[in-house]
Order: sequence, then structure tokens, then C-alpha cells
Amino acid sequence: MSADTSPIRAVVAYGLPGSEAWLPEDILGELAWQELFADVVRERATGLLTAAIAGDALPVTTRQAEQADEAQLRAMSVAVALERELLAVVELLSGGGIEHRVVKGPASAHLDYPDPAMRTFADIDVLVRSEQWDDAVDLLSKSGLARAYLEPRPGFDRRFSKGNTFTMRSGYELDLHRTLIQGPFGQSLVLDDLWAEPATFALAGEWLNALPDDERFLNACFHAALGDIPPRLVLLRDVAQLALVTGVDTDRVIALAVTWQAEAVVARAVNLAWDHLALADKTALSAWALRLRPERRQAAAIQLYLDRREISTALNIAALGWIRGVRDKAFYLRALAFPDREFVVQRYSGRVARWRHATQVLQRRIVP
Amino acid sequence: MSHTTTYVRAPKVLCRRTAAAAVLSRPDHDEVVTLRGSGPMLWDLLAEPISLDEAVDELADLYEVAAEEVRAGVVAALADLTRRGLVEKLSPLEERGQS
Repeated sequence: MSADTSPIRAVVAYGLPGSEAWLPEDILGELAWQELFADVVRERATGLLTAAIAGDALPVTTRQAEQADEAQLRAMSVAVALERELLAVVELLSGGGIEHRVVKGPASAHLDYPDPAMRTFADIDVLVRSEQWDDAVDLLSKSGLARAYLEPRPGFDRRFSKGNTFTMRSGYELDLHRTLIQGPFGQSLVLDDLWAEPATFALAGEWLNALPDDERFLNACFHAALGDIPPRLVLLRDVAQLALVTGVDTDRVIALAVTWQAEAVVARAVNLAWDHLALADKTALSAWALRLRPERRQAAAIQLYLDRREISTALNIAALGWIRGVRDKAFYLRALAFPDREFVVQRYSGRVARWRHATQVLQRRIVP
Repeated sequence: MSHTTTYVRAPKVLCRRTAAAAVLSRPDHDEVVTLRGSGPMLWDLLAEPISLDEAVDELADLYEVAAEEVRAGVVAALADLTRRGLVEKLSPLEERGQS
């Protein structure tokens, strides 16, 4: 277990059963408080900080409590505004016959935490089926949402993309997903598994669909294990919250991870969560994660996500090896090698610059 | 049997509570309303139908002041929240489900 005893870990672990991350017993001096506060803001953990203060687990001065509360108020203003946007998006998609699932922030907040205020979020994410991707994009675009990225060729996003980002009139962003993550693991997971009977949560009197518990846990693992370096503590908290509080079917989660060729990702997420949040309780899941020896192909793929240089291009290139079917591989390769002009112009100064960039990425992969 | 008008939270309100504030919004409005001071406590009381007099008495007890010191503020707050569609005003018949 990590020996890091920084208070931010204890704040993020607040309320988790079995965590041995101890909050300070005495009021922090001003310098230590400002360091903790900066960490909390960076981690977007204001909900957990204010919960710890309200629970009398973290002694603070009146001024420190006010500072924490003001930061949480700002986060909650964003959360409420985003939920208003989410309801509008859900209504639009439902009206257009687009099946969907709310994923990440709002779903986690309402389904996995005792108080949704404990889990802040800065955008909204919705998953749609591949078969309905083009219809969903068309519907959102005609409703005034601005799509961030063009696809390399017509049909590419529906078949291969993680998704696309839309800017709403309010300025907030909607991430529309086709799969859970970019790159190899987004290609290897079985999309049909995401469309089982949904979990549901209520928002302003409406019932919204989310991923069921086990699939929501796997999604949390993807983002915790393959995201930021160092990993964001609140994403590790999601993993632990689902595993220890919401509860998941361990055998089923492991079976899904095997089917999705992502056991190493899940094990990494669980190991990171147990280590960083000082979780002492051994469970069947944590024991499995500790024992797992990652299969080489998965370990190599994980390294691509963790290499922060040119991550998007490297992942797109690596994903080719994880796409099933010769015809799909051929389309993917052709679309990336010879994309439409509009796609190139949006992202690069020209086709030569794009090839130079891709070549450099490939060279780094061969000679790291 | 109560013959008094009561107030209650509107059904479709998005809400988050902090220690010292409450943030409210309606799905069909762009506005985000922040309640501070005694506003969050009033919002807590509005989880169930409550009359003006009951709300005044509860808040006066909470702040350990005379009821008349808080009445004007509560009247204004309820009027404002009702105007914004965040609170509903129920007639006695409505409260009893007989409207």
C-alpha cells in the first residue's frame, strides 16, 4: 500500500468503508489548508471535502468552511445547469426514437453516492447505439448543437469512433458516445453488452436510463485506469464506490472483462483504487486484481494510453489491431490513411503535415 | 382540518444543497437560483406542504427570534419562489387532494 499520507487522499476516500486514509485531527494551518484546497479543486472533490466537514471528520475554521462551501456552491451551480441540459438532450433523443444511456458524472452522482452533491461533474455524457449514431448526430446538429470534430470519412464514426463532442447553446459540452473509450479497448469491448436492462435514476420527476451496475463499474475502471497520469483520485473513488458500496457481481464483472479483452484494465483500476485510497478490506475483486498477471497484448495497449505523447494518434493506429473483421479493418485503414479533405483541414495545416505527424508517432513507437 | 393556504416545492425542480446555500433550477428555465441565509432552511421546510405561519414559526425557533422579525422575509421569499415556479401555492382543497 502506498505510504503517501497526503490529506487529499483521505478527503477523496471520506466515507469509503475500510479506508485507512486518515483525515487530520487538528485544524490545518493556513499554508497546509490552501495546499489541500488547491488539490481538492484540481481533483474536483469539493463535494467530498464539504461532506467530510459536515460530518465533523475534518476540523476547520469558519473561514475554511466558508471557502469550501463557496467552491462547492460553484460546482453545484454547474451540476444543476448541466442536469437541466441533460434533461433537454434526453427529451430530444427520446423524441427522435434514439435509445440512449446516461454515463459517467450525473449517473454516478445519483446512482452510486448517498448524496449526489458528493460527486461533481463538468460535462454530460450520453451513449447511443452504433446503428443510431448518424441519426443521433443529425438530430443534435439540427437542434443547434455544434459538433466539434468531423469524421475522417462518412460512416467512420458510426463504425469506429468513441464518439464526438457537441457544444450546447449554453456553452456546456455534451459528449456523445458510441463506445466507452478511445483506442484498442474501445474496439474490443462488446457493444451489445452495454444495452442490457438499464439502471434508472430520477431527475426532476423524470426517469433517466443509465448503464447497469456491473457495466457502470467497468466504465469507471476504463476511465480511472487509462486516463490521467497520475490517476484522478475521484475516478478511483468511483471504482471503489461501485465495488464497495453500490456492489457489483464480481464473477460477472470478471467475465465481461475477459470477453472485452480488458482484464488488465480492470485489475489496474482496482489496484490503483485500493492503493491510492488506502483500502484495507480484501474482497474477491481486489484479490483477483492483485493476482492477475496482465496478458502482454493488453499490457502493451495500456502503455499506449499512459504515454502522454501524441496519445490520440497512437491510439487510433493501435486500434487497427483490435478491430474485428477484415472488411472493417480495411475501411478503418483507408479512412485514416486517406481521410476527407475537410477532416484534414480541421485538424492539420495540410495532408503533408498530417503524414509527417503520423510518421513521427510511428517512429516513436518503433524507437521509443 | 386546515383551511390555510400552504406552500410546497414544485415537482420538477433540480436542486443541490450545500451547508450554507441551495441551488435550484427548473428544466424549462435557463435560470439558476441560489438561496442563501435562511433561504436554504426555508427550502428544507418546503419539502412538505407548509403554511406561511408554520414556516415563520419554524424559522423563528431556528434563529431564536420573534416571529414578527422573520415574517416579512418569509413572505417575500415565498412570493419570489412562487413567481419563479420553484414553489407551488396550494389551496386547502388542493392539499387534501380534493381539487
